[in-house]
Amino acid sequence: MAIFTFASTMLKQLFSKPVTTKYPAEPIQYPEGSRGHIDIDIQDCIRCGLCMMSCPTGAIKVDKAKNTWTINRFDCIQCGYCTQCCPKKCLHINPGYQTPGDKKYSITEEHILTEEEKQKAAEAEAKKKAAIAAAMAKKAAEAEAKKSE
Amino acid sequence: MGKRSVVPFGPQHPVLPEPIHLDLVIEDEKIMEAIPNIGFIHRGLEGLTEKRDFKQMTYVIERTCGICSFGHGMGYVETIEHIMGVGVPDRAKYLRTIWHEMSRIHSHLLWLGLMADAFGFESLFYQAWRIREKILDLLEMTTGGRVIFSVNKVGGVIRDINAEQEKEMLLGLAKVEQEIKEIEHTFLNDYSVQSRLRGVGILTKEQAHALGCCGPFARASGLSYDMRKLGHEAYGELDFEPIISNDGDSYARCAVRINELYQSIDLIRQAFAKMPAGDIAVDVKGMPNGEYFNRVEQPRGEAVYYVKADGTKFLNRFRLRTPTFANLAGLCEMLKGAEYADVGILALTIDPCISCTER
Amino acid sequence: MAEVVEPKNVQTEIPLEALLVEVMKKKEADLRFDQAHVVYANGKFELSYSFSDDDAYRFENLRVIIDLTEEVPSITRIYPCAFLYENEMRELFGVKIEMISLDYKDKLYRINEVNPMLPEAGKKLMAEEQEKCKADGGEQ
Repeated sequence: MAIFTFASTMLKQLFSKPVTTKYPAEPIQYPEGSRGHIDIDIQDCIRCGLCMMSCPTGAIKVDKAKNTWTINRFDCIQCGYCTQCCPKKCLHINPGYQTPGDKKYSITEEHILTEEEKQKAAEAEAKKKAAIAAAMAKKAAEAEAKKSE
Repeated sequence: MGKRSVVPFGPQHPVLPEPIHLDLVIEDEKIMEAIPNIGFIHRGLEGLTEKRDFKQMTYVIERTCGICSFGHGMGYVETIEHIMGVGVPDRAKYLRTIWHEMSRIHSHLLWLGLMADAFGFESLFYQAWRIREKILDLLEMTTGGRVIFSVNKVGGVIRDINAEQEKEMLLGLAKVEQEIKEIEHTFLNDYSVQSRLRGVGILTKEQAHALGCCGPFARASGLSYDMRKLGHEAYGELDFEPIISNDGDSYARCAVRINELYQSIDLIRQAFAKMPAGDIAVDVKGMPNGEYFNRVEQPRGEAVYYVKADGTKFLNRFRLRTPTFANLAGLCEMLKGAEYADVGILALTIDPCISCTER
Repeated sequence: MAEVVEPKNVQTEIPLEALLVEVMKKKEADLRFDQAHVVYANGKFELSYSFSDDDAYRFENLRVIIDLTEEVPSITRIYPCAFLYENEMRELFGVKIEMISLDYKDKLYRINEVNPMLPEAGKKLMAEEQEKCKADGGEQ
């Protein structure tokens, strides 16, 4: 048994610099690769919806018709599973935590279609229409044939 | 014989960091019987298997506990890997071992701080948590998270430790070891600390065995029971012995945990020395089908993971038996005959994690 | 030093009547009680009682498969520390465990819902079986 065992530690602490920092006057230095929030390179996104399906909390919504990607940062748990699942690797997890707020809100990013994509989409649409028309015509022809029989 | 009365203790109590309620039957100042009551923070994480697929569950299960989060994630993916027959690359095994030991240091330092706070040594509490901060910084540097790491996945890990980070970690650990030595002297030799811990809350080896206690709590009673000896991950290739003490009192529990800090630092050094280069993950295809029991030594003790899968992406059943669930019976036994003033300390010596227990 | 002799899981399936006898045997073999849990699968309850060894890290598991309304004797007389596990099984799944030494009366976790972990199909089946039991009892 001993007494004053803590005296040396205490004296050392008394004459050394404080271990705490003056946050927020002195900003935090996040290490590289710290998981703070999810960012997206929206122009690389193909709106496949894999991130929406993989998210354990359902924080991400992908709207294929409107070409938008929405995240509720208050539901996000920063697990990074969406960044692993993304086929185009356009999701990134970056340092910097979500600041607190008085209510939950979502952030929506819109993918703006380039000329090329628009053309492609139009072509795909035209193809689809043509296919439908062809199928209709075929059906009509079959019906006609049945009638004539 | 004095008059018996029942005193409720918790779930809110200045000493307790965890919401456990104890009904204490006391006679004068002596405790005759203690009945535990939990259920204030049941979240139903086991039931989430119905709604989340087995890969998403990794992130759910990791969030069972804020302190042993790495161990829970690791225990779960090990179980799934065993069912699916996935061979994890050696480097991933070593990385998991390193992070698991790091979280053990961080858990034990947290406990030491809380313990110091419980017996009223506030400045010692500051020191323990100051040292823990360095460990958290190292963990954030290598995994990206301070307490929830999310680096495990079925088939390996998602991040590697590069040479620069390895060097920094070893340097940091050397410094931490030095600092632990400083406060160890106070924890183990100080007069006032000893008078609060020596001979308080004795649990014999026989009792610990009969009540199924585990972890540092059981090892302080002389049971050499450490799941790391099963040799999962890289533990089979590292050289260590479970740390035990035969006293079985609160002081022994404190001493066991302090010695485990050194053991963990030693294990991390060994692991870095032996770690091979190579891949850190393998691709996993298909769905799990089968069942398996897996046992992992968490900082608080042995955790049992059970998975029953039926070939779909949703598991049939996931079961997690946490260390505190096993230690609660030991706590109640230990409280019998103790002084009322020691209840706060004794409840802390099992390192309770009630949110783990209720899941 | 403890040598790891058999870290593998040993599983034995036993009928319900043999449960107490088998658990007693484990106690006599000086095994510690590790855990107990229940799984709902294919309209039956699968109960698992696990025991392990202090030195050799042996892990032995007893598996009992029962109907949903069958009554299970409590093992708390043999292993007093099993009371939490049995209360948990009864509250979350509705396994009918009798004579638990410390009975929380389905209020261990303080959940309002009855048997929250039992799937809908299981609840239906349980109600049917209970009806059947009542009808049988009435005739006698």
